[in-house]
Amino acid sequence: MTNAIHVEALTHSYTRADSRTLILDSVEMSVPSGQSVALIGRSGSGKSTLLNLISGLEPVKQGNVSINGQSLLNLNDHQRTRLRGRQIGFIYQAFNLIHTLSVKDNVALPLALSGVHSGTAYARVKQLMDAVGLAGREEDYPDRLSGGEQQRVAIARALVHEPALILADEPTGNLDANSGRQVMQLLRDLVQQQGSAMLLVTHSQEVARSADSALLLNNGKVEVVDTLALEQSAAW
Amino acid sequence: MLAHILARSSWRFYRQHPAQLLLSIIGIVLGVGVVCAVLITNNSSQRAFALSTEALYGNTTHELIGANGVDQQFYVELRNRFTSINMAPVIVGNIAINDEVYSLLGLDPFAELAFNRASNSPFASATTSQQQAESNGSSLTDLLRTDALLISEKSARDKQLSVGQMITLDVAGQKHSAYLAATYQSDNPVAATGLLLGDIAFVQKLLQRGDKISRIDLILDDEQELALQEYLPQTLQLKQAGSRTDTMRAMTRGFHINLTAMSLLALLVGIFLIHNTMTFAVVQRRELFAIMRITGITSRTLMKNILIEAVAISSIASMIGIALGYFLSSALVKLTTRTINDLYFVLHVQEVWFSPWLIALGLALGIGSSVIAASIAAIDAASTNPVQARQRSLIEERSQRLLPLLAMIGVVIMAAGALLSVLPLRSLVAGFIAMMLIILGFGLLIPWLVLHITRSLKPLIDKLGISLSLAAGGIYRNISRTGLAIAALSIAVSATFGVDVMIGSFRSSVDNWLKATLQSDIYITAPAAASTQTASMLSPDSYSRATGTLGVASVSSGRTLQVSTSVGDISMLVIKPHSSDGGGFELLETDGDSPWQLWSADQSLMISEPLATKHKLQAGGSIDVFTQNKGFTSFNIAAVFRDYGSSQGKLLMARDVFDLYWQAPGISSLGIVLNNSVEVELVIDQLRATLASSERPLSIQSNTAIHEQSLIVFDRTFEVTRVLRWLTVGVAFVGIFSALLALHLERAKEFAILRASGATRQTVLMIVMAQTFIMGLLAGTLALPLGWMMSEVLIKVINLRSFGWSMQSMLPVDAIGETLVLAVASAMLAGIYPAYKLSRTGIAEQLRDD
Ligand SMILES: Nc1ncnc2c1ncn2[C@@H]1O[C@H](COP(=O)(O)OP(=O)(O)OP(=O)(O)O)[C@@H](O)[C@H]1O
Ligand SMILES: [Mg+2]
Repeated sequence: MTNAIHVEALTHSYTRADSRTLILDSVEMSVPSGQSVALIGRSGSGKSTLLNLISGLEPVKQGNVSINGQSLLNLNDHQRTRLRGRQIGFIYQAFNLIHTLSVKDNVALPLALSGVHSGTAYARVKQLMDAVGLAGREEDYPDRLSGGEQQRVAIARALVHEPALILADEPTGNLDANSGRQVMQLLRDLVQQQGSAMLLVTHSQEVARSADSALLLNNGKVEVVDTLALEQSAAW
Repeated sequence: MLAHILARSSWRFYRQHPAQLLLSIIGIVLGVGVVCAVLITNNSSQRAFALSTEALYGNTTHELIGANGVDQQFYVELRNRFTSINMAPVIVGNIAINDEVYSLLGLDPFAELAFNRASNSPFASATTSQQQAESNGSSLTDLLRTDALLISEKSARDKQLSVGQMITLDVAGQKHSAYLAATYQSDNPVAATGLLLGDIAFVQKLLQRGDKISRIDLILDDEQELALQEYLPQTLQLKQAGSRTDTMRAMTRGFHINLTAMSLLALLVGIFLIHNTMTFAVVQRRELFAIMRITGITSRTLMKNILIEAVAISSIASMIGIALGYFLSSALVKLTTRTINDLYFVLHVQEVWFSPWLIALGLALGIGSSVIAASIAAIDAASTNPVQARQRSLIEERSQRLLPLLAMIGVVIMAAGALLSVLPLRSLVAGFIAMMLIILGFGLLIPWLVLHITRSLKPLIDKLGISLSLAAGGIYRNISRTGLAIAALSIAVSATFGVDVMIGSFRSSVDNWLKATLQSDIYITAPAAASTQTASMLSPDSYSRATGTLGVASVSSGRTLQVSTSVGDISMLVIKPHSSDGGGFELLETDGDSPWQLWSADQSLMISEPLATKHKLQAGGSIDVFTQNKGFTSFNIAAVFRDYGSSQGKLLMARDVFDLYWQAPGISSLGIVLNNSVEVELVIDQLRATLASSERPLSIQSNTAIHEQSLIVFDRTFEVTRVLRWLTVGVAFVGIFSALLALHLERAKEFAILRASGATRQTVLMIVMAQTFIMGLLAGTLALPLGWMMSEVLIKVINLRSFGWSMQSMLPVDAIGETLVLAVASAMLAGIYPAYKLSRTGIAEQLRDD
């Protein structure tokens, strides 16, 4: 069985005011295909940084990352972008929708960028809008939707091109508990339907427990944690 | 404390966006610089003009002139009769030294004492104090040499001429030598530049004036004036010393007005640029300001902070702008002086005008428009509710709703401008206002047009791929920003198109006119000193000798002289044409059916179009001309003819008529029509052999050579306009650059999202470049109708009112292409840097949760 994500000896540091801060220190981890894995860790521990490296938004400087068996190490920016465009869907805490594009166009963006014909694309967009329960809101603009609605649009965008891997960075962090739960449920269902793998950053024990397994990022190292023993973990 | 925190916030913003700060400064520097440069240029040449006439006239209150100079004998009589009156004989002419034209003033040293001419009365000092003369490096004996000339100390220094040197003078094509006896110091060295002084007898000989002097200068009180008036014969005219200057000033008025038009255009674009940069500097921090508001900072405090910032930036930038204007103007002054020398009279501008007023004006312009622009943006930023400030789509929707209203206001303003331009007014100011209204109105209409054009083209563009589709969408979705940038570029480009069409139409009208007017195959003239307009005479028998030359079919003769009329001093062309129908002259208006017959009759003449327009004269009317034999005489106007030769107007008189009123048999030019099938060059050689003599060199030119030269002078005349036009485009370029940069930086996050969703760097580059391409194309396309309207106003209103020339407007096809290329190229050029930056920004940084 191949891994959707495979990370080997990944090291990353930032230079800030002349001093280097090590964020990731020889991280080893993997996410098997089709599985949901939760990533937990203290604020500032480097979770977002890890996700950015995996998705190729930031170049890997030391160590290696493979997506569905494809190593990112020897890929240039162009090739990484292509890979990301086809195989990864990203969901952010801050939604990151384009405010001057309608909901429909926001969702269609990944398809349009990979050259899918607009007829086909919008049919698929329609399908997903129904799935996330936003049918009829296609022509609205994102900055006039509620947080929960915006995140559902972001989910639709992340899934629209049926990527094998979903990266979600605290998708419910900006939502109240209730709508957070709904959005999570929706995300889990859709990911399962598509059979995609998902790496999900979360601060919620409840969310972490519902995943197939959980990883803890602490002091630059990633270790597998027992979801049942989460209460005792230092991660919260 | 709070003020400090806010100031630190501004400071940090600009530290993080150095490009924004630099652009704000460059924008103001260029805006202020161009306007100041034109102002300085305009003022320098006008001041130089005032100074040079001051140098020529000194204390003179009146001058006595005749229709063909004044007899020297009369001066002697007058002097003996009115011993108490200060009077001095003067001969004025132009000569050239090393191809540079100087005014030569022939004076009588003994009569000069009271006149204080060229400020410090050089002759007075030279004759009264030998010591002073010696201190200038010469002795009295040197000054008494018959070939002595004096030059101002400044000119001598500038032109590296030294006292005691022999100089070669070019007088109407002949070489003469003179002795540079002394330099004189003048209270006003600038006024005296380009002015040579000599003893009247020597100058008379040099300029071949026979026993004529140019005029008698007088210092009169009222009583003396009356006494003199009584004594004077009808054929001499006593004038206020200033009146000639007025005529000369009127000549260059049109020219200076055109310069002013360009400076207004520069001003408009400059203000726009400043507005643009300041607006963007504020708008970029909308969110920041919103957060500050939420934290409890009042909108008053925020406004104050923004205004202080605007004043700080704009005052530094304005000072730099004024300095830039000063340097630019020295180049522009050279161009304008050359044009004035070509077209009107000899003018030396040595000093570039500068005054505290200019600094005040530059500062007012720079700081004023910055503060206004910044406060409009600040009011907007401070008044929008802090939550909405973050909702970009709301801002866009609001501006989209505003566009139809703006467009309607624009149409109304344009209509007002159009109405104003067709009203039968004579005021130039009204013409300029009309033009500005049309530009402003169209500018307001542009964003609305852009919105609708891009929207309606969307389905078509969508088919061309994602990059173009996103690019086109980006334009109408961000119309509040893109509309402004497109309008700016469009206006700047339309100005170049409008000016191109105007110059093109003008040039082709002149070209056609030259073709029609230059009826002779060969023209013979006595060369005038360099480029001045006063002609010298041909030898008396040249007419008959030319007629007798082999291959010559017919000969026409002409003579140009300056005459006094009821509407001022005007140049008059006296001709004996080839045929009885004048030939070549295009008559725009005639008195009766046979104007040429009427013209050759006693007491008739024709006038050129500018004269008719400016003084409301018509065919069938009359004009008083000061003649040599009968003083003021009324002449009937037989027709009005087209003439692009001079903007101050021209009289055309038949030789036979002229001879009745003047005793001036000389001719200054011959026009020769050849028999068919003779070689032009051969006849020219023959004519040169028969007509030339050592003391009278000739200029013999074929019709085509004159035609070409005239067009060269024409092109030179518009060089200043062209230069200014490019400066305006430069200013606009910086404007569009800063607009695009600000627009795209503002959208950095949007592009980061695109990148995260799978858009490669190339795709981002493509989108941005495609967008600037479309913006450029839109700006260029919209510039065409606006430019056309501008050219119509320039041709039919402004030029007609300032020069009096009517012309046929025509559309130069290549100018259309050039305009589109200019717009697209400058937009794309301005887009390269933002595109590059956007494709390189770190995606992760932009997407960090804020
Ligand atoms: N571009 C950058 N330059 C310098 N330091 C950075 C940069 N990006 C992140 N960091 C630092 O790296 C560390 C890890 O950041 P990261 O965003 O990955 O944390 P996180 O685990 O996602 O935190 P949170 O749970 O609060 O989102 C932080 O200390 C942050 O300040
Ligand atoms: Mg994070």
